[in-house]
Amino acid sequence: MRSCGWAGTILRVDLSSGAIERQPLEAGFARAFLGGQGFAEKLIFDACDFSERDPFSAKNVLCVAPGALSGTLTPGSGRLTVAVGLSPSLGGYLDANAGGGFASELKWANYDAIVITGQAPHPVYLRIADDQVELRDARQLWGKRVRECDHLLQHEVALTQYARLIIGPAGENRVHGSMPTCDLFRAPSAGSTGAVFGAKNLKAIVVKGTRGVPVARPAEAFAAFRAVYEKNRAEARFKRFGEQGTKWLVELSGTLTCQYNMQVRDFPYEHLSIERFRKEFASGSKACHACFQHCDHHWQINSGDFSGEQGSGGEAGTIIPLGPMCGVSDYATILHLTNLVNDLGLDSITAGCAVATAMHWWQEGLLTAADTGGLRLEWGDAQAEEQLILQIAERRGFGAVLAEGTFAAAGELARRRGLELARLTSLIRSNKKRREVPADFRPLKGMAFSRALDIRECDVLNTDTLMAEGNVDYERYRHIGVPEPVARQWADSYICNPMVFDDKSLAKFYSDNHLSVCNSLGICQRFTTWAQMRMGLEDIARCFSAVTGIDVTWEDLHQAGDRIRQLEQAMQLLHGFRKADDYFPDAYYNSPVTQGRFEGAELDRGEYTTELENLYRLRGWDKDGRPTAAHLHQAGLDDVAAKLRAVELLAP
Amino acid sequence: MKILAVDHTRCTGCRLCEIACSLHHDGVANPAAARLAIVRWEEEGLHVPAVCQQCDVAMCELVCQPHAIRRNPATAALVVNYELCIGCRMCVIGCPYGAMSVHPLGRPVLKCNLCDGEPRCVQFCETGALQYLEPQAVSFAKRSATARKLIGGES
Repeated sequence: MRSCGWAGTILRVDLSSGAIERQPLEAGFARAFLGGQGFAEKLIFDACDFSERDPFSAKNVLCVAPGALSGTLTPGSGRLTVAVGLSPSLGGYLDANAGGGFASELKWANYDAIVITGQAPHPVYLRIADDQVELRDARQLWGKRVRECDHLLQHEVALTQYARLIIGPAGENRVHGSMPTCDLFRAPSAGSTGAVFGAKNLKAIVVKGTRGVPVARPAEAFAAFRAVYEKNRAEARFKRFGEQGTKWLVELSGTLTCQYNMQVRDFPYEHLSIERFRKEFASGSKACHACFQHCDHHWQINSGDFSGEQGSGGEAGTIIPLGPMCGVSDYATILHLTNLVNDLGLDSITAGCAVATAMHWWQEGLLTAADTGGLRLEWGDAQAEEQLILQIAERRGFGAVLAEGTFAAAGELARRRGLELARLTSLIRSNKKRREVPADFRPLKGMAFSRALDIRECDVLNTDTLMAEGNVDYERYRHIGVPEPVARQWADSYICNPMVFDDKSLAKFYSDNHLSVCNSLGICQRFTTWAQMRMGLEDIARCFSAVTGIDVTWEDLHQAGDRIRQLEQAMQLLHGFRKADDYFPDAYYNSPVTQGRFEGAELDRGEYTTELENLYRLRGWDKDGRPTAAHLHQAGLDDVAAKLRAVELLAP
Repeated sequence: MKILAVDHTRCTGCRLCEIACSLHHDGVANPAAARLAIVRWEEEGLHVPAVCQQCDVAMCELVCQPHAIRRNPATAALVVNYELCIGCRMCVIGCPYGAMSVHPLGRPVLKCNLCDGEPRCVQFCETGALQYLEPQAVSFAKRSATARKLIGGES
């Protein structure tokens, strides 16, 4: 009998031998880990050799997993998880996330996850058409950018309207920040998963599904959908995101970003206003699968150097790093660069941060024309930015140095020029896990806390705007779908006061669980509580129950979220991360913002530590962030506890 | 007698209409089994709903030898009677718009029946790319936009 909601099959591909296996999905596994992020984590945990430190080893595990509710009627259920056992740029487990249509298509082809191991003897791509799964020669596609590769694929895959993940030159060249591009414009951007595709000689995955997903109780699914639809559409924010996407945040976040040197400068943010984008560039709204909020745009450039160019995307998280952080304020140029990074298969945040860092080094005299082969990296020079991005993706010139990431580049420069390493690294903005942080969150305590801790950053499933909300009362919490007892607890707390550190651990605890649920069910965070929309865990539980036929409460999902976070922490520990990595670099603490709207704002290390240890306590971990056997047992993770015990990483 | 009106410029490509359609008719979320399709050009950002027009002179009805396609007088929709359908798929070939298709798993052919006057696709279309309208309302929005342009206003 087929399950409802889930497809019932996990696909395993060994690129070394070419073996393709289908493994039935176990009911207990599905209920415990839900799908998407949860599935990817557990499948990778079971298959990962934590002693292997080479991310390009054939042993590294790659997993592509749609959410449990992807491909169904659940609002905004088009999210896809792309995960690796060992991320080349972060040195640990990483799951990235993308929208678009790939997740649902894979579900309609009847797969809950693809687990990819080994290394193909030459470039291949994976073609999936329902139960026909084959590896095909991709030698003729190697070296091609994403769009050109897609054109060539269209001629040979003999599929209509398929979905695809394609790496560009950046992934092939194993570049820091590379990613497979999803349906040309969507980005599972975090953690350099593209480089793992490249190392495995896997150029693309194309999928077409015609089997569909059975829904246990269609009438209930329709009703659950309708409830969210009516609630969310009535919100002012819905209209704003629907018309403006995240682009309205660009001007707003001008107070948090700058020319990358942690100080607010004069930058003509009005050039990047949403009004201007809509008037000059937008040609229509675009949506991911099953999303009625359609926050993406298709756009066209109608004059100037890039006249005639068109594309999609351009989230705030793309525009800010490629534009303001590098001092570039021409909208058309930034859109052109957006297309370029998508086409190269390069994450815009990583690329923008790399260029901005190099510009900053240049400005400080730490980098000269002798190091860059004559490329002058002045702030605001868009042509230099474009050249450097191309060099990074193709590993040419100074780009070859940056292709290893900014920290590696700092090391190389320090070695070459006899500079003090700390002088170079102090200008890199990232958290201790070496994830770039493209804004200065010192003024906003909740966001700073989450940015410091996150292994993944800046996709729309990791927003936590609620923590920057200001004063929120019980009625408002209920309004945005916070379950009753939780809303009561929050109403007596400082969760939403962005200016103080108090209770940010509580906020992080709830938001992480909530996000893990969203990531695992494939639901876009933008519909939900933490983005101040009204789809709460109770709504999500209703959708889940109607689709799968398994009745769950919001508490069940909340606990599943915790289970997924326990597993994530276990993997972080097994990969060598410790408490010290749960901080920002030292320069971030006890150094106040010296100008602008938030002058005087600072992060206090003592307060930070208090909240960090509170978060550990809420998770049932000890003071050093190590899980306890009891808590893991309660979460049904005895096998995880055993693995931690074997290397003495379990709390005593 | 209402008409299913399409304005492709409003379509965002979310495909909720396809899922709602297949779920309503078959209990399975499966665009391949939907009675309409969103034809997508990803690179150009174009999404065009391809839906049955319930033609006045309907090729599907004319080519159907066993007369399995008949008009429902209540909705004016041409409806497939699967008891009579022999699965020859001449209707699919005959439709000049490609609005009929072959079911991947179950029924031989797929055709929109306007959900007996409550088209589910329309209920799930947030932007109004699909609407179920009285005939006189179908082109009114375009007419008034054109008229506004003529008198020098913003369309």
